[in-house]
Amino acid sequence: MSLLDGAGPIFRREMLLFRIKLARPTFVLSTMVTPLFYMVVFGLGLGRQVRMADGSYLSFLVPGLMGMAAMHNAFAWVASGINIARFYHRTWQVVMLAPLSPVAVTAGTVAAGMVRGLVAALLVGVAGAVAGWRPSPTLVLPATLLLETALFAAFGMVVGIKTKGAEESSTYTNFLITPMGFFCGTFFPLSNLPPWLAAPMHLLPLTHANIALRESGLSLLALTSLAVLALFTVLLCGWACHAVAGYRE
Amino acid sequence: MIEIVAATKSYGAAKALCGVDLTIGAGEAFGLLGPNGAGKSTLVRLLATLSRPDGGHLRVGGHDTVRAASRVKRLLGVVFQENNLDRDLSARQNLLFHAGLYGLGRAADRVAAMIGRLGLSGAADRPVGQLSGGQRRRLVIGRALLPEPRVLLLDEPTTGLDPAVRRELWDLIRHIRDGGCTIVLTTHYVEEAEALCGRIGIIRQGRMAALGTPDELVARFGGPRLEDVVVRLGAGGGA
Repeated sequence: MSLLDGAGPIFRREMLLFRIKLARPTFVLSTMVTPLFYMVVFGLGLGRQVRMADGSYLSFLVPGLMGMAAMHNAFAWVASGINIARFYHRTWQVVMLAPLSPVAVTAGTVAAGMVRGLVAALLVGVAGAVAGWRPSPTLVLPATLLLETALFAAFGMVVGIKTKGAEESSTYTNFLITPMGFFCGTFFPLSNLPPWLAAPMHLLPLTHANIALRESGLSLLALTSLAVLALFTVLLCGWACHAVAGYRE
Repeated sequence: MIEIVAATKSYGAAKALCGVDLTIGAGEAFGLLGPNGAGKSTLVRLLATLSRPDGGHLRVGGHDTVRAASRVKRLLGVVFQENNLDRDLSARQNLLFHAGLYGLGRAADRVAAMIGRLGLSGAADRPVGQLSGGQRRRLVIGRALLPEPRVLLLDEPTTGLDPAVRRELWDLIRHIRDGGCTIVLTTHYVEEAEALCGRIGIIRQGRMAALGTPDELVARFGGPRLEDVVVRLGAGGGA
């Protein structure tokens, strides 16, 4: 029996559920509404008054919003999905009762969270393109989004498994995920922050996602940030596997 | 097939199990009766590997539920009180997902056969949320049977169902029992345990208060009916 046996069915089941959600008109709207508000208010409203050193504010903002949407959706899909499956539908038991390796459970669940995060980032990117943003033709952007969604989906797994309910789970959203969205360089460069605040922000993964998403090529800066994201991905996937292995009711 | 030795389990200060010993033979249908909070569901969770005992040990098919949990899971089918199904997916999709988790070959054929066996052919492709309570219950039991387990754990499988649906499920469980599968059934319904189980254990405050066939229990504790024995022992009375 392979370590990954069972990952495929978990992923396919999540995709079936995702397809059902995608078919509901409210889903795309609810995924898009917050990033669109930010784009309109900060990009098209306040952004007209802002001059960036290397281009328009919109070209700075859209990659940041893509990164933020990818983070939020990958994390929330997995964390709230597991929470609901544990405490409401009780379907998490079905997975835990099956003779699967923790690696398989993690791989299937994280891959599904990645798809959700990537779709959200793509929707924001399309909206940005409509508003005039043009992405650089480079593989850095998709590579960054892949790593970013993987690490936040893995973190969502840890939160979904370790917390004792939706309320505790939302604490992570309110005190970690949402602040990251505001302080990790989504809306303004980290250099605008006072040094005592900017320094710890460099320890957070969204900062490195935002740095890499704005690089136009495979620069040293982009490579460094991708390496940091890869390290976070490995650590958080390992933590998620450990959480699955130790899961008890 | 199942061996439980001095199993203890606490949740904080509350003791759920206080040294339970029990042996269940292969092919046996064993019923576990007792009041709410007696420890029935805790025992099922320990056997299902969803929970670890604080002390003692539990073995299924000779495998320890903690050290060889994966081997134990291969032998088990588990039905909890809740209909833990994906409500947005159809009955067929739920079964196919389960077949995938267990790496079953010819999954589509097996699922189609199980749908027929459960009498769900007309409803197989409807979302589970649109099925009746009885259909969902049959689906949950059928799902547990899909990997052909050697042991079936049924934790209050008929609670909340109307009498006609309950009788229907009894027929299904009898059929499973007669096929040679070992069954552990927890229930509040004494007549259910009498109808389906050869041997019954009455659990009270985490301890096995009595163990035997329905006739033995009635004779030992002075009946006149098994229900009277269960009520007396559940309330803390004795012989």
